[in-house]
Amino acid sequence: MNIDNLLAKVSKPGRYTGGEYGQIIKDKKKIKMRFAFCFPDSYEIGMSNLGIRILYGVLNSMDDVWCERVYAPWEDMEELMREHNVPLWAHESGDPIRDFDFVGFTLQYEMCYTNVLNMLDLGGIPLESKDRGDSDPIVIGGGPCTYNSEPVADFFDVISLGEGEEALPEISRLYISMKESGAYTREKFLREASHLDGFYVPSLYDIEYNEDNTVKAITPKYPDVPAKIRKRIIKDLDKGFFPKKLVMPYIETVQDRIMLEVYRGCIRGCRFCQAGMVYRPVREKSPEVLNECAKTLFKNTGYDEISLSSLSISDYSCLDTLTDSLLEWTDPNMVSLSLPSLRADSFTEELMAKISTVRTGGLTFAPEAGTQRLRDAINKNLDEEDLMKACSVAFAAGKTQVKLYFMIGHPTETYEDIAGINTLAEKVVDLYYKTPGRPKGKSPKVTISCACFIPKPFTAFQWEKQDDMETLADKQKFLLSNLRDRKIKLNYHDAKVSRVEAVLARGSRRLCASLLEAHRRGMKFDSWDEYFDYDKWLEVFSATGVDPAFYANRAIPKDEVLPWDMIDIGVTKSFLLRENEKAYRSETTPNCREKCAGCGADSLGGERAWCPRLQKRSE
Amino acid sequence: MVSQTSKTLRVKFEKTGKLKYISHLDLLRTMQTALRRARVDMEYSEGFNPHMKITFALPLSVGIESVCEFMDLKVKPGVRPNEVMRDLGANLPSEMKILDVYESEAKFTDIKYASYRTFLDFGDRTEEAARLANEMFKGAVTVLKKTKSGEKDVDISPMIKSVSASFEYGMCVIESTLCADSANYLNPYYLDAALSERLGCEFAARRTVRIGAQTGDGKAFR
Repeated sequence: MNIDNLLAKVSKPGRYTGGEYGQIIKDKKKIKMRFAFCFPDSYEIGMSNLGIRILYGVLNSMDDVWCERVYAPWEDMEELMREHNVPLWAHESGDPIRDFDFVGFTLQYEMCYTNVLNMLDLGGIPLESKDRGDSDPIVIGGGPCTYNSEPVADFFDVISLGEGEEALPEISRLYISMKESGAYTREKFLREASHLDGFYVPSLYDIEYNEDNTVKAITPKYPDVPAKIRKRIIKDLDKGFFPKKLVMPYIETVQDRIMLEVYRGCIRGCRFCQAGMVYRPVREKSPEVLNECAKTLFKNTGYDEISLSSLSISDYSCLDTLTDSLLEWTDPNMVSLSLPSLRADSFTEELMAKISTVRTGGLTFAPEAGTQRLRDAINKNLDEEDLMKACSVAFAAGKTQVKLYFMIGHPTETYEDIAGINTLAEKVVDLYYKTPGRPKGKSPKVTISCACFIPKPFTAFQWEKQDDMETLADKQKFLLSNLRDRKIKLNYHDAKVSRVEAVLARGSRRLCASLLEAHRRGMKFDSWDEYFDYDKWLEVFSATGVDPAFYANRAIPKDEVLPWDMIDIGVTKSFLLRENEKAYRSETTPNCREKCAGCGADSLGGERAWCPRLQKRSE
Repeated sequence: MVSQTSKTLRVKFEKTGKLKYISHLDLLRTMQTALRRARVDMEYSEGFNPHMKITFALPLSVGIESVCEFMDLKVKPGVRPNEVMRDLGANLPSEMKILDVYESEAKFTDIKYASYRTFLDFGDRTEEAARLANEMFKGAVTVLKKTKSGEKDVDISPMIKSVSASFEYGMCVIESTLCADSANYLNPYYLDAALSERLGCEFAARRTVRIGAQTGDGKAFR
């Protein structure tokens, strides 16, 4: 069956056509290795991922490697593929992914795991590493979830830890050289790969468990296999690879614009935040390099929007220089500039003026907690005064809508803290009416968006329990009952999704059986409300002997072996422990720029880093 | 402000192969980015969200190919058709082809008819379908037509200028010329639907290509 005939029968066929401007086509006869880069979600989401945009460019910059894109087909397409025996294919060539040398998945969120299995299945690739032979592709994983890849460890042959720009070409070279010399077998290759920096080969480790299901020991099977695997970083981002062109989707995608990655890491140390830890040390790009990158991308893509991307854009030390040099040419070229992820304490009139020269909607700030006490405990380092100042700047500039992000279920949280969320939102409404120069005759709209706390590996709160479902539901109800003002709107996340996410985030290798079972039961697209089914997950856990509360709702003793203890992110466990203790004293830790807290990430090195220790070293 | 000396360039292009799955709106976005890459000096609308002045001639349903699509670009004075042909052509996805760029007097509203070639496969009843198609479109043809006010039975025969069918290469090949002005636009899919219904058999495969557009006096639109 021709793919073309399937396209006539599905919704949004533009997801599958391929042929986009900017896609890279190579001569199969001249290449030695083919890499299928899979995003385990829909085309619209996958095409928006900055990591893939970079790594697609990195791999294709190698003359003898051809990297292609693969996305999870939507259910209507999947049905047709199964009906007509069409295996999952790669976008550029249309060839089945099982014929590739590498099949790579980026794991951006836990709820995509079922899609990974479904895509392997659709591709005709054995689901478990142990069942794959020498002629099967090497299945490799990367991305933020791989800092604890144990719940999917059985399905991956190798995991790339940390930033992949240098690591992926290295493992490609190893593969090509072993293939050319005839030395290649799957087993030999994986053993060799485990010697490369930043590559974790799950099958080369024995995991022993205690009777109570906790991990007893993690032991490499052979003396040459490293006991700890350290994540990779690009030391100098100015010299790192940056794509000069992009694949231009026909259909509208989530991030259909230029994303300019300004820096990696975050100087803040919010105690619940995984990204803030795993991407350390903070490394910046220089404004000159960024401006050139942006110009090149504008010329080569024709996009009319540039989004400055990073964990907290206003923390960039050269933001003024950068925005000034960008605005010089973006304005006359009708290109708009957007700055997501602004911190309230750095939101100034000057910044507002810059972003209001171009289109922008309402503003979003993330106080994360309702009282100063709790904000201190989670180390948000944000005062109420900062938030009020930011909102008044926004109102005075004509904005009427403010969105406030919070989380409920933080460790040490009380109902007083939750009531504080309502109070804070009410204060913002009051502030609107006190702001001179606010839009006349309009009323404000304040949206409270409330997520649930999820304990994540490699955070100060990795040992903490998640509130059980009853408590979370009760807290949400409390929040709702305290809602008195019609100008305040409340959205909250489904606690059920957050719970499954917590199980998968802190899970051990024993979760692999659950995921396999979930796949057997046809589960997929679990990050989509219309697909997620909590009861099905509970059934799967129970069928595979997994107690979700053990992973989500248990406070882990500090001396327990963690399933992810073989991974080294640079930030030390002793630092995370110190941070955890400070949380219980509601004690804050200054950000990296103010004072070094001794997290340990300086051991990874880095240029234009905010780390005081790294700065001292480069002097 | 559109300067008085700005001018309109007409681009004739093809939308074939997999491009038939790209919707009108997506095509517009694709053209906008391609025009910026090609650095064509476009006129922009006024307002807070300035956008390029681009107009497409005829709607085209997703799934239908075309070898005669028209788009008008409002450009700054001094922009030359041959340069647009070269630069825009070099910046389009490889499957999309520009056929011609020129200045034109005719307005899109001058288009009254469009011609299509449709290939249908009814299995072993394909030849019978071709014979039936030659007969049935001579009289009244009632189809269930979707309109803004809901679905209703409409006789489409007044909107059909000509239909002829033949049995070639094992396919039922229908050549049709249908009304294509904004008040009276007939989607060629209605012919296929009517034929299927009359035959009492669904087609297994279909390909439709728009092959021309005509003015009221039957001349090729340019």
